[in-house]
Amino acid sequence: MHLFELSPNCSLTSGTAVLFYLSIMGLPLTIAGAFAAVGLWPILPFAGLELLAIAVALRISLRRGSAREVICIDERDVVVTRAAKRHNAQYRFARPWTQVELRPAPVAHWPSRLLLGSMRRSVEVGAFLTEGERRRLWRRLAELLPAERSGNDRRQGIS
Amino acid sequence: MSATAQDIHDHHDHGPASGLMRWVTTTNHKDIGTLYLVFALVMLFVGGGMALVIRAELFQPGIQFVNPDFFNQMTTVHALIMVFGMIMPAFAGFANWMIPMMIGAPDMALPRLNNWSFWLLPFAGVMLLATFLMPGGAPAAGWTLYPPLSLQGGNSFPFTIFSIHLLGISSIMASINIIVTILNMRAPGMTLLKMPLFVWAWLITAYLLIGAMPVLAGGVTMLLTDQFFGTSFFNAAGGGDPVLFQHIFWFFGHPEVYIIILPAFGIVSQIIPTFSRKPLFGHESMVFATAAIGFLSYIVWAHHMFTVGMPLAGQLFFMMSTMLIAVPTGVKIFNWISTMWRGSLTFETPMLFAVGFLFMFTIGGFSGLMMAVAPVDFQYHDTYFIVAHFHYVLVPGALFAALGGAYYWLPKWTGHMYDETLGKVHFWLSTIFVNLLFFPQHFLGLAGMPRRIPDYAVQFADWNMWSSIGAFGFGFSQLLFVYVVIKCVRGGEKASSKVWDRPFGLEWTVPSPAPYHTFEKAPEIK
Amino acid sequence: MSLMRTLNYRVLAAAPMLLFLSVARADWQMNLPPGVTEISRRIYDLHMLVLWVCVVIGVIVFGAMAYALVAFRRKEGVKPATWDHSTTAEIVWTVIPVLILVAIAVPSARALVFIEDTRGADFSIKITGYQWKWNYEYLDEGVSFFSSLAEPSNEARQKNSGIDPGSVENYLLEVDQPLVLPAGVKIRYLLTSNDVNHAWWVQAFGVKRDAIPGYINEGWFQVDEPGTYRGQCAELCGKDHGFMPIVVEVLPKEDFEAWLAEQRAATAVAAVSHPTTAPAD
Repeated sequence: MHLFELSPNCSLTSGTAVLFYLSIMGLPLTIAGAFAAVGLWPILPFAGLELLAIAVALRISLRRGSAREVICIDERDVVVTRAAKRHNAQYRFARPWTQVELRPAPVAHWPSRLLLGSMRRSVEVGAFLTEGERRRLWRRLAELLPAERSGNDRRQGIS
Repeated sequence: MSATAQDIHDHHDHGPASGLMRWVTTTNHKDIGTLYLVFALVMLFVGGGMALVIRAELFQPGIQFVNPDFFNQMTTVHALIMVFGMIMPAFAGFANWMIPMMIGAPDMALPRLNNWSFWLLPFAGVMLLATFLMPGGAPAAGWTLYPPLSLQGGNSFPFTIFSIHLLGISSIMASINIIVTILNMRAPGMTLLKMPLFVWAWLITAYLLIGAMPVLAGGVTMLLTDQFFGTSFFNAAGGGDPVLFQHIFWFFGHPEVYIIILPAFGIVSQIIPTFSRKPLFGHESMVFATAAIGFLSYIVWAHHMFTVGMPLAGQLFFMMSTMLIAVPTGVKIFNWISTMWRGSLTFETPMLFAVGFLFMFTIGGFSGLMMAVAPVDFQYHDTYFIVAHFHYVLVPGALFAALGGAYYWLPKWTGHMYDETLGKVHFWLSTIFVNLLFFPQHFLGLAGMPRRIPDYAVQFADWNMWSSIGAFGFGFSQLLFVYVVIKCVRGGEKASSKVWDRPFGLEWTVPSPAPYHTFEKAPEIK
Repeated sequence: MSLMRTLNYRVLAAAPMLLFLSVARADWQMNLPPGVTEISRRIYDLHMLVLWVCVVIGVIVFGAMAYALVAFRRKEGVKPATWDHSTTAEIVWTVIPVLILVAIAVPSARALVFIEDTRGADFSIKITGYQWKWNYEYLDEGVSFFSSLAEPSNEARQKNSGIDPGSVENYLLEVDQPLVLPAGVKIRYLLTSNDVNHAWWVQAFGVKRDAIPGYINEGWFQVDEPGTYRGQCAELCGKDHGFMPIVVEVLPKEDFEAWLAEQRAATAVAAVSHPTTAPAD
């Protein structure tokens, strides 16, 4: 059995995120507060809006970090499990019929796609990986899945 | 919750939208980076055209081409376009393209926000330019928008303010995105101190934007309420204080200066090691120097206002703090020289621009030090000496760094080498003309020519004529750059992923991965 | 000379030739003039000090750069060094600039204190900026008048006026009625504005200060040499910002007293016919 757990790179933990937020909060608030003290209060709401935007941005980015994809390959099946905060999905393919394909982007510089599945149905994995990581994962999966079905013909076009 | 394979739609075959819609809807950091850069290049010519109107009028004494009021509209909108529409978007474009590649991230942290922050720009830019068609014309009070003069503006006034708001929102969104990307998307092993200088420069720039932008937004909003809603923040007759606006503006404006120059420092710090074939000297001290400049930028603002009649203590404080900026800036210059020291130098176009930056930015630094001395600034203030100073740091400073960066990464972006000969010709033409354009302005200022005047006393005629010739030469030289870029996009010698002989940084290792990230887990024994 | 200017003005297209000709005009002033007051001379000295400091640093820094560019070009068989930091060097080039800055800051602070010291003035005037002229008021003397761009300049500066600016004496630097001041007297000025921000700048005095509505700025200068001194508004104040020059005529003390008495008499007469001194336009 082979198990792959994919997760986006997150260099920020929620603890450090809070620390960062507290550190950056001081900056616009001090400045806006000082101006408010001399009667120029309209800077405060803008500083507040900005801090709100930073908080939302951090939250979205952190939440994205909790995404997980698990690929489990045993003798019979290939099971892809996608886990996000509120949404779980599992896709099961018969291993002998499962192929892995690294589809190059239709536009130069766009990310490639790693598709796992049978002829008609497939599921994308590792969309959040970097190009290099995705290619390495593809090579490894291609070793495990039937060679003639693993999209070797496309290898030329990518690397 | 689980689904069966039958539920899967193969929705991956649609691909991206094609044609124009691809660019409107794109969330890809490289596409958005390209959009930013193209927008900046277009704006360079829009703002540059205005500069040429100014220089044509100043070619000789007397008023030949434009009325004084239109002249003021030109100086005002030229500055707004160049600052908010050209140089900041250019560096945002570099950030979008390069930061994810440099830190090993697949994209920016918030791709849709990224799309939005770019697409605000064209609307803001068009709105700003549309003010030329309004009764009373475009804003003519200078980009500093000092009241009460700015409140005399015609119908264009609220549109100008709104456009500045949009530009501000755009840069805030971009900087939030950049901060979050740098903090959360670094590849394993890419610790903060290992980050390339360009990434560091942008991180600190984003901090500056976050501190400064609400101040600008609040400031221009107060102008608006003073004009239309009867408040008296800056109206002396209503108990307000017009000088407070100057404090507000420069509290934003001085960090803004570094918002423009820090990414330029970052780019130069990437280029020089590559063509010296030697690692950047004093990486950590470069980071600290950049942070020090960022910090100092918040406590020097009133050196733009030495003549408003500040208390003596205030003048002394701002004089000293301003002089201090020379220290970290000097550290950076010395580090760059040391990087070249005992290296193995070659002078491809990016290196030429970086070396040109080094020389000419230093000239701007010297005049900056001179202006820091408050008593002497009484003579320099609001003269062409100031114009020469800030153009030296902005044009052969920031713009040269951006041009050097464009040549440096063009092969990475397009997959083709640019035309090296034309690139070098572009560099030499730009360098010769930019000095012809701005160096005589030092003399004009010292001889007593005030800035922002459409006509001048005849003793200033000679240097003005040289300066105007330099301006036209410099402006038309940039067409060569457009040609080189188009030629490079269309085709050319194929560039390897490494491109240069010995580049430093993750972006050159793509597509092969550098930091190792393992996904495969040992199978659990059940 | 005037022929050159005429040529210069008329033949726009032949720029290269004109440049050659314009060498003969000898107006290539490059440096700050020392001026005629103690303030302006102190500023000039400071200016030259900082300029020379910059020149010396510039020679060293640009010399090092130029040496590096030449000496460390890529050569066959020469491997680039691999070192990338030196704490000693970093400390040296942090400390030395700090010392240089201190050396500049001390005389600068001294000059600033001197400039800002308005005590002991013998005579006060009030200067008010208007769009686009100056009002001068001799406090306690009851004399006040406007000073705007002289008519010959005003005619020549109209768009496509056809008048060669070179043919107008003191083009854009002449007024209808100059500010007249006594020589050898410490003069305190109060500065304000009636509409938007202006700045009163006479380079020869080393005086530039903003005129701001609702504010009264003050400063001083003392001119020992009688003569005519010219300046301009130095803060963007609208469309005619470039056309509100300043002319100060400094007279020997006795001449000044005579002039002032004359003005007082004229003002008394004028006050009968025009009770207010509200600005025209």
